[in-house]
Amino acid sequence: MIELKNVTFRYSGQKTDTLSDCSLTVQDGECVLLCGKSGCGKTTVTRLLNGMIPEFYDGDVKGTVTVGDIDPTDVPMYEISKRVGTVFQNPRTQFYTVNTTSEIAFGCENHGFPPEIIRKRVDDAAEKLNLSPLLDRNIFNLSGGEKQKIAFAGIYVVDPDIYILDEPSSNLDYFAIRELRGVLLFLKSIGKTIVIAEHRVWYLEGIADRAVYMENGRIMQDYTLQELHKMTLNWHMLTGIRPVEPALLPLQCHPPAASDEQMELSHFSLSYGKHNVLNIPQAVFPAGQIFAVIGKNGAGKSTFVSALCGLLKHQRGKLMLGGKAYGRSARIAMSYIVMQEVNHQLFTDSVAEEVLLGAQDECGGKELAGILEQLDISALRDRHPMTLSGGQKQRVAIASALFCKKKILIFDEPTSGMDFTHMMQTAELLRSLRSKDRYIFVITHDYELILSACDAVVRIGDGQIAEQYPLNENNLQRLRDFYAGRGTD
Amino acid sequence: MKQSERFLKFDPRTKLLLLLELDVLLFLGRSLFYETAVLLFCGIVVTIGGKPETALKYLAVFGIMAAVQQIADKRTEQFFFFLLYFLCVCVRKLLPCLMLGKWLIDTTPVSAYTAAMWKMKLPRSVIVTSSVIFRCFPTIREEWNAIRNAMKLRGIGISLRAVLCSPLKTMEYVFVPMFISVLNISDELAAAACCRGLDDPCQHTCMEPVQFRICDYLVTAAATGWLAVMCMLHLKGGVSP
Repeated sequence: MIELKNVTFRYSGQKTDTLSDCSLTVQDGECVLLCGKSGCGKTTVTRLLNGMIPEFYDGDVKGTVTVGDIDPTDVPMYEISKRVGTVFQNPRTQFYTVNTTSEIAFGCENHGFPPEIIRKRVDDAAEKLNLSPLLDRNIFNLSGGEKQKIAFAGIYVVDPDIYILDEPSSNLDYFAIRELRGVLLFLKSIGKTIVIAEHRVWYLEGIADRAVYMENGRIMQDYTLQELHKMTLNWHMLTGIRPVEPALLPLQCHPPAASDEQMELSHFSLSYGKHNVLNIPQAVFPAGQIFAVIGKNGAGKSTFVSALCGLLKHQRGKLMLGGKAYGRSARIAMSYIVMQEVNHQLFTDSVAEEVLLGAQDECGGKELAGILEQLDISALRDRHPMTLSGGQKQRVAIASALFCKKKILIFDEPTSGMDFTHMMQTAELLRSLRSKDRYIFVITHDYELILSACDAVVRIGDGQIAEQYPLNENNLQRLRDFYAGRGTD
Repeated sequence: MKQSERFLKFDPRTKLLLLLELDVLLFLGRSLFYETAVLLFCGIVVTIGGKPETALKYLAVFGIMAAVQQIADKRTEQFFFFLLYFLCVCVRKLLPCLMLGKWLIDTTPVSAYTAAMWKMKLPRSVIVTSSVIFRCFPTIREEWNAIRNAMKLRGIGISLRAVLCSPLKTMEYVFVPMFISVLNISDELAAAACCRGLDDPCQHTCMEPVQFRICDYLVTAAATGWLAVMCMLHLKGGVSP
């Protein structure tokens, strides 16, 4: 049993409490969803349960925390790790080894299990979690969903009673999330206690026994999943919880800015040796629209956009804008990718300097103010980019693209891990970037983002454009079919 | 990471010891002949240890460095050649360290590394920190590619011209995002690993048994013996080879 009794917590060095007077009881075998906007304190609750507070995040805990027979704030982490397993949101950073099999074994090795037993348990986990084909592979070559499965297996072998999951779906595509659902169903069937902090809720139907809604560090209310089903769009905006039934979101039918300029690709291809990774005989993308680039994992979405930007050396074929052909280096100069890992593209020590960096003319002070205003980051002008929140960093990156007058804008999963409210804000921001000489492509798995921001869909499959269609009431079914796994590849 | 059976598997402790001893050995002698012998020894160990291509690459670099140094040697009164000479010596002295280091990282699973560290009874903090660093190397490679693309798109690419004209600025552009992401990643890695019991003080095990085999004894004996002889020679004040 997990019990928080009147828990108040403040991270050291902060002026306000992150949790105030939280009480929560989770029975053995129960599955509880913690939900609420980013920053509401749900991740902090998970950190209290798995011992990361106080080991990695110091602070002041009031009240009592009990997990099974121990107080996790007062016991070394290795003791907790025998009872509590944690899966994190970023599959990139929760792996300790490079090989899948030794990764699964890692927990057992740490607790000094004899090698024969470890081997037996790894085999058992592979069978129960359906991942025998993934054994003995390089983790860097796995997809996000496969990595997440390995993470679950690595916990399963140690056999803790409690699973803590911190936004396990945020880096996964729709198909991988469905597999995650399968894993959770299995864990529930063998009587494990599960606590999930999460924005997405659709995949937890029939798994989560109740949803605990948090706001500003307080536990506000318990909901059943059926109750979440009935919530209005407005309520989702207020709470940040993603809709249970994604298909019910209304389509934003904003007519795109009319433009006669267009991007034309001809015989646009890329191959490594005999292996064809990209092959687009002919394609046209009108300016002023936002294209959602979708496709299964490994279909070639990133290759496609990187080639558009001119980043790939061996790319062949022509790309024309408004009838004029542009070579690779010319395209690098006119394109910009807002990366999923936005830290990779912030180089300087103030927001203003960051936006000005790499611009051709140094004079545009007025223009700079305008752009900062447009992106709502004027107040942050002199802040160090690394002290900003994820969404603010994203805006700084967009601002520098606008200042350099980039014509081709690419967004790589701009809303992964975002709650509903922030996702809608990003959608609005994307729409405001449309202009008649700008080409915008958004790589995304986020169905709700596509409905609220994009004008057309480009589905990449096997390095080719499998289909391309404007997003309207008639075509909505095609998008739904893709998400339901009925896409024809 | 499946290693072919044709090669010998060394214990991580052997690799660490070699890394240490051969670096020291290189600095104990000065002649080209002596340095070649040390490098060849590294090359042979790395080859039988499963990475012949690494060994070849580094030996080739060594050959080039030695040749360039011979040419520059006669013209050291000119500043350019002096600089070249100096650079060659610096790089050459690092080569065994780089070669063995790459071999260590490429052929050692992190689990074997940590298990070996626990066997050496090192303090916990040393083990946790060093194994996080160990784990970070493949990640740094991935980060580097992403950062380079980001730089290109901002028009601050790493061209030869940029490096020569504004070396400090270019370095800053690489290191700022690199440090930030490596710091974040290592923090998260350490936290994730501790959630899985990395800091358990019990005797850690490894699915692949970590133990000294004949080959471990042979190469460590050879390297240690050599080091001992060199130290004796130096202490006696004998002519350095």
